[in-house]
Amino acid sequence: MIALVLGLLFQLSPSYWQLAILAGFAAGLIVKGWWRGFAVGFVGILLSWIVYVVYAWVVFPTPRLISTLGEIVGIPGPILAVLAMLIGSLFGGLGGAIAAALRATIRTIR
Amino acid sequence: MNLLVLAISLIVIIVLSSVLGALMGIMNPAMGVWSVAREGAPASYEQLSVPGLHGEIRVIFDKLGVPHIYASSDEDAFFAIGYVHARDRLWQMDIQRRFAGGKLSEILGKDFVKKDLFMRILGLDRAAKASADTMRDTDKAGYALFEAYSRGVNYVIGDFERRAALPLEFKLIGYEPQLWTPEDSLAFARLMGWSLTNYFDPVDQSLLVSTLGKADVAQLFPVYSQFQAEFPIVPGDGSLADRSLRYTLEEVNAMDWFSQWATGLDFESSTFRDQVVKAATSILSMVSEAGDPPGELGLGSNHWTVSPSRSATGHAMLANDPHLSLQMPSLWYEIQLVTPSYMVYGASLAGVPVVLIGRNEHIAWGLTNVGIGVSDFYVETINPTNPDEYWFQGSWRKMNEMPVEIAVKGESPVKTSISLTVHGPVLTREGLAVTMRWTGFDQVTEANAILGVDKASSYTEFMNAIRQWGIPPQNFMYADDEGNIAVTAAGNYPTRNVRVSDGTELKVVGSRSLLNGTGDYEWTGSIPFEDIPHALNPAQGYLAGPNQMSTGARYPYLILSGWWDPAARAHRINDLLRSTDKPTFEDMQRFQSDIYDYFASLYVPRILKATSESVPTDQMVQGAIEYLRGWDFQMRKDEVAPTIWSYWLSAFYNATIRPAYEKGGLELGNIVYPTPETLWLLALNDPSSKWFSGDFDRTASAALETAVQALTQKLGSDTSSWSWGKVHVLYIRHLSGLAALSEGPFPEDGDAWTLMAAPHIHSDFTINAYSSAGPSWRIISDLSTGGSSVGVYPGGQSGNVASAHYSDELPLWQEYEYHVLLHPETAESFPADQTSSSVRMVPS
Repeated sequence: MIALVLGLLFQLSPSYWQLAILAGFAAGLIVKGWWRGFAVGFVGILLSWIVYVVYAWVVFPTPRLISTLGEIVGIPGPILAVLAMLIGSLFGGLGGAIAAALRATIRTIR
Repeated sequence: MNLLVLAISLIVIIVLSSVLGALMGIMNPAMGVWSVAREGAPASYEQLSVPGLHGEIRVIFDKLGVPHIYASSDEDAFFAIGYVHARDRLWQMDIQRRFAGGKLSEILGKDFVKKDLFMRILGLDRAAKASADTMRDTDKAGYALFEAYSRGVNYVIGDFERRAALPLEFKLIGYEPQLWTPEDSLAFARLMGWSLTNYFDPVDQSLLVSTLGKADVAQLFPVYSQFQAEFPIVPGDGSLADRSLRYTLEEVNAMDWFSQWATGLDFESSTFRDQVVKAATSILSMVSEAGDPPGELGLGSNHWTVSPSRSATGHAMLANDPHLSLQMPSLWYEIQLVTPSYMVYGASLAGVPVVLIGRNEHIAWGLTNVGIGVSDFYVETINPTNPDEYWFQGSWRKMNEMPVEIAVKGESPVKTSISLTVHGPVLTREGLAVTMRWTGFDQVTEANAILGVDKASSYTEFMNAIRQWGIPPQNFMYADDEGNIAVTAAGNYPTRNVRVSDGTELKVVGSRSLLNGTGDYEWTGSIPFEDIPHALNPAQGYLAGPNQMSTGARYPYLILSGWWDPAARAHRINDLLRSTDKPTFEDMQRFQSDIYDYFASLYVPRILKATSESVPTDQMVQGAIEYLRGWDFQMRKDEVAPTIWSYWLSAFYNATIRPAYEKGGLELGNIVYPTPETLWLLALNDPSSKWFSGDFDRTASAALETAVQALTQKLGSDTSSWSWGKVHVLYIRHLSGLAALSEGPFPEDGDAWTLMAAPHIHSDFTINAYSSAGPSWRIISDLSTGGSSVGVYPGGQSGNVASAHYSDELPLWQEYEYHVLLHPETAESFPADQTSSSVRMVPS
């Protein structure tokens, strides 16, 4: 949920896409195990992307744009969009994994 | 384990960021391209608080996305023009000003360095800066309007950057726009001037004379064509009230315009001719590499107007369709402007805050290119002991050296310098040092002229406005609600004094050749406005100006260079207007979509005669003849005869002119070819000319066989499948070159010679893969009270591919349909059912 909320916040304001890592990191701080951290970061960012994309798809003329982008890049537009979502989610997951691993490392040191 | 996960995660993030960073930069929701979709569907109502406004501005966008601006002052209106131009076309504006200023390499890389260097040589930005400096001192009110326009553009730039909403092209290329200045508008206006006056025919002709000889060039490129003399735009023989040229058309054509008295140069010397070949080839190659080649035939425009006595409505009507390169986004942007001082509706150019072609409450006007050459090219005499000096009017002068630095994306800047003489920039030093003098090096006054036209409510006011018009010279067609029709070839035409071989002194405009640059062949003045070709309410009741000569052959200022359309469209529109008793509004539309090929009507019967006398045995050729025999010369896309005709013409040129050019070592595609009208007149007067290998009929028959072979190879042996639309397709290329943002290809009617111009044949008569030029804007105005105007262009108001208005006018244009140009007088009276969105701007 933290990753989802932070992910949406970052997407709705002009900012850097790398902040998905930060969103995932925030979510990963409260779970145990790096793999759980990865999961919450990944799923959180993915859900935030899905929310935004569905909103954009319905409200704005997004399908035409994505289709055109796909022509430019050489990949079908919807696949391009899904690819971007997965990559963003991957970064969120990595952020979550880093946070969870860091938390566990600090606890071990203590 | 945790440390390992930490380390691996960080490494993966770093690696993926560098590999996929560009893609994510484009695709991320926060700052990527998704905002483009958002901007493609603006809110139905928006209120903006804007510093510096004098009062409220209402902008209402109609169902086609055309903004109707209602402002309480001219300055506020210009702010709003800047706003809407930028909101819909910001990237187009930016790429255009970069092109004008020679700054494409900075964002696009080293492939554009040659283009940039050429534009730096032309110095459009220098002219714009000088104009802006002068305006600030002498025309503060005018300058304030350009500043207001810039503020409007910059308001949008700031807003886009705040919301990470820059247009798609900025995000794909990866850069941000700089702020807009009045100089940018003036530079783009001058770029349009260059695009319509970039004639290098003195260079071409000098090269041709040096390779083919004077006699051949005189035959292939007469000063005045008999065809042109039949239908000048201004009716009559060109004489002024008190003067006329003392020589006939034939006498002018017979003069040696490459002689010592005409040029100050020695074309009789083989050494000099060799030098000319080197210099001219160098210049033409440079121009071609800069992306400015002779280009497609058929670039020109149409306009015509009928007086009340000749009009079915009982009032004047005016039609205009400028033929330019078709592009996405379109060159044109429709707009309506209402202030306390004036109302105007028409087509503007994104980047320049005036309506260039349109109408207001009282007048309508249109433009076609005059085509008279306003450049001269000088051979400088270089000091043999100091190459930085040249001889001029009795002394050695030092050239000005202007350093140039061109920023190149991803590489070190390119540093060079441009040499300047009193004439202008040095274009080449290969063989000869040649400079160019062009009226466009002077200051920009055209925007002020058009602003005066936008506001004019009478013929007198209109003429006062176009007095300021300099470049490109344009045939301004005019009609008003008092029943007046007129045409004026407004522009700055520099003149030279030339003493002809019989001792007569003439005033000439332009030159057939390079000129001696030591000081005896200089510009000595310009044609006074009162002497410029013009007509008001001619007895014939109409005027038509599809790029033929503006005036008759006895005009006292002898026009020696330029480009005029090969008179096919002139013949056709004059035929239509003369044969139609009282054209209706619908007739005016029908004329704009006319696809009758006048040259086909001349040549095809002659081809049929030639092939009837020596009947070909090839069945395919016989089949082709049958198609031509039954043809009505309409260039329909679903017919076969147009295809055969076009391929015959190409084959005919390849058989006649091309061999001579190749033998002379000329670089094909970089140099002008004679027009079909010239070859037709030769065919009539001298069918055994060497150009036809001594026998026109045999050459014509052979060309038909060649055409059939070419078509068989391209389209197969089923002649019924050779429809014109298979080889004649329109492609409207996006300015970025990206196919995904372009439109087409579409099968298309017409060709280079029809009123509905659709050129696809290159200047060397090779067949292009696509046509990419034609009627860029069509407008027809009825000047009766409450009379309507209609218009259409092949594109849409928005440069945003996600917008519903990206290309929504294109289907209308393709079907020769129009939309009504709404021009309600007040925002309150704007029909709600025609409104798609609105913006209200209030002073903050």
